[in-house]
Amino acid sequence: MNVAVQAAVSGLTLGALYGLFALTVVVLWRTAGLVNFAQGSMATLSAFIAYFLLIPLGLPLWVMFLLSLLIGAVLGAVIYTVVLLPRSTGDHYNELFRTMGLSLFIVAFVQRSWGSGEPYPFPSLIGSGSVDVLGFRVQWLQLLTLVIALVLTFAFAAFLRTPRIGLTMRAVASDREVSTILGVRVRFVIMIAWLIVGAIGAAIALLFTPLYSLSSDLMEPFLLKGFAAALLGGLSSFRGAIIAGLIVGVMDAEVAVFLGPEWRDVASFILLLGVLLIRPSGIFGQANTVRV
Amino acid sequence: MLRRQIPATVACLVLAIIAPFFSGYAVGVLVHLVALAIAAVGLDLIISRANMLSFSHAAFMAIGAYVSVILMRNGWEFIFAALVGIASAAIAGFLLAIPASRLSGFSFALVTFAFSAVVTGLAAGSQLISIAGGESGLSVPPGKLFGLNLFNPHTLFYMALVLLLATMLVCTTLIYSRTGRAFRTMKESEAVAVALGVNVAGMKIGVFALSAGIAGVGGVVLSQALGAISAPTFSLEQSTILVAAVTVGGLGRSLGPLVGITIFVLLPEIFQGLQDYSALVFAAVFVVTLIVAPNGVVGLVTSFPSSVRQILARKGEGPGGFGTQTPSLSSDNSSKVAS
Repeated sequence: MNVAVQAAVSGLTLGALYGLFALTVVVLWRTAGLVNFAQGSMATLSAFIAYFLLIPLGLPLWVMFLLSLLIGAVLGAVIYTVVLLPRSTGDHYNELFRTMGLSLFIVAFVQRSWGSGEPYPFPSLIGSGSVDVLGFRVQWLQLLTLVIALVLTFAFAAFLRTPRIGLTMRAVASDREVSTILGVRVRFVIMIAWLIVGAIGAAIALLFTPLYSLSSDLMEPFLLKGFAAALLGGLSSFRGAIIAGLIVGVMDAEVAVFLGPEWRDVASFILLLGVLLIRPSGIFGQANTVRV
Repeated sequence: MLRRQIPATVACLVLAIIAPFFSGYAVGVLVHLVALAIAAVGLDLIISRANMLSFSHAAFMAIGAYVSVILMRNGWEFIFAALVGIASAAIAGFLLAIPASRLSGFSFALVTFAFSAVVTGLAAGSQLISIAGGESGLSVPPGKLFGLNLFNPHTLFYMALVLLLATMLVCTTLIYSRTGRAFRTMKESEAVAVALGVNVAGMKIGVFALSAGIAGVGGVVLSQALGAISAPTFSLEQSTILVAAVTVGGLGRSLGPLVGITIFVLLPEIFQGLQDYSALVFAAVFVVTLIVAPNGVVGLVTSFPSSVRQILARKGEGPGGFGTQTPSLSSDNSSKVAS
């Protein structure tokens, strides 16, 4: 029992990160109608840029964290401009393939520049102390990760309620064509989405490095579990993404403890298939009704 | 119908004629190419006809390769081991498609993505280490087919070529059959297809299983060509590269998968000098092609003469432009409807 709760605590931390990753997937899906396969590699790249650009400056860590978010946002905007805007045909598969090619490119670039799978010591945002909560040991780092993840989620939810940008983003999400007719600058909105996605990606990578270690395959676990969380949540629900992320994270940790770490991926996959078998639109997704 | 096959058949025949003059190494590269091309033809079938995007075709190749190799290591004949391997890949595709066929395009793609990660994880992981060899993989016992030794790269090459041609024939036959027409309706509108009595889910599951089985054939051939298999050969990245090759070649065109695979297999061979950069060049080629030629290389080449003809026709009298339309699948479709 004790072990199970302890595992759940660390699972929640990881799950919050999976949830954030799923959130970025949902943001792009709802605004741009796109699944960004370069999500993981973009995050890895921002972490590497942060490592080589910011650490030599010797800035306080929280300043570095905020600057990294900025780097991630800029990276997102650059990628949207360079990879997705030129000759955009509106063909969703073409856009998807472009992000896929971009992902291959970034992975190749990172591996070539900084070695394949070579670990770099990334300074932790906070010391390795721990605190007792109701008799269970919780590391400060875990607590901080959870708090930052929740703050980012709520900040994003609040942002969506702001009259100017938030509202237009939701308008584009619900109907792209109608919003265009009503004078919403769709490209501008999608650009904002990429800025957000880039920034949150950088945050995920930075929060994840102390748990893993900075290397070219930093974001590998997210490819399966982050996307699985997005699908479980329904691909269009922000709340669903976070909750599904937490579920995947906790299940991950429990499976690792009780069955062995090598079964984690299989368990997530079975959970994904099982849920989709019963509810093809995910836990929080709305079933698509097609009008003829 | 068979006209569609001509360019690819000619390409294969030319390869077959010049292959004896190649060294063992070059033929080895060719077998590798043909093995991937078989899987690519199967992948093209589901992407361009059934609108299903799969990031798991390298995983199906892995299933075909691993099952056949494991059986051969237990003393099975090559032919039976290969057949069981291919069937296993098809069954895996079938099982994956049952829950996934109810999903929309992107969700389906994400599920196949996850499947690929799980299969390579299992192949390299410690759960199945006693059968699949874990990280170090398995060595492949040389196969014998009708007394011919497949260890000889030339023999293997001819077998692979025959399999490639057979695969393309199966796919072309399917595309032009009644089922193929149902797929075309389905691609335009699933609701209309359902209303016309097409079993949409069943067809999707069936064609996905077929495509997975074809990838399994590619996997068996590849395992024979490599002599040793391990998980990275069939990683998620390989699945992505297969999708990349099919799109760069040109979706839905008979030469597309072959051209795409040729580009992606030969590029690293050509750029061997800049070893470190080959992956970068490769990814850049992919992205630039998607931007410059969204219909792929074959699409670019075939649309080039027609666009020239259109410009010429515009200079002449008005109605003269009529005959300049390129023959396409849709014209074949409309004639069927008219009759």
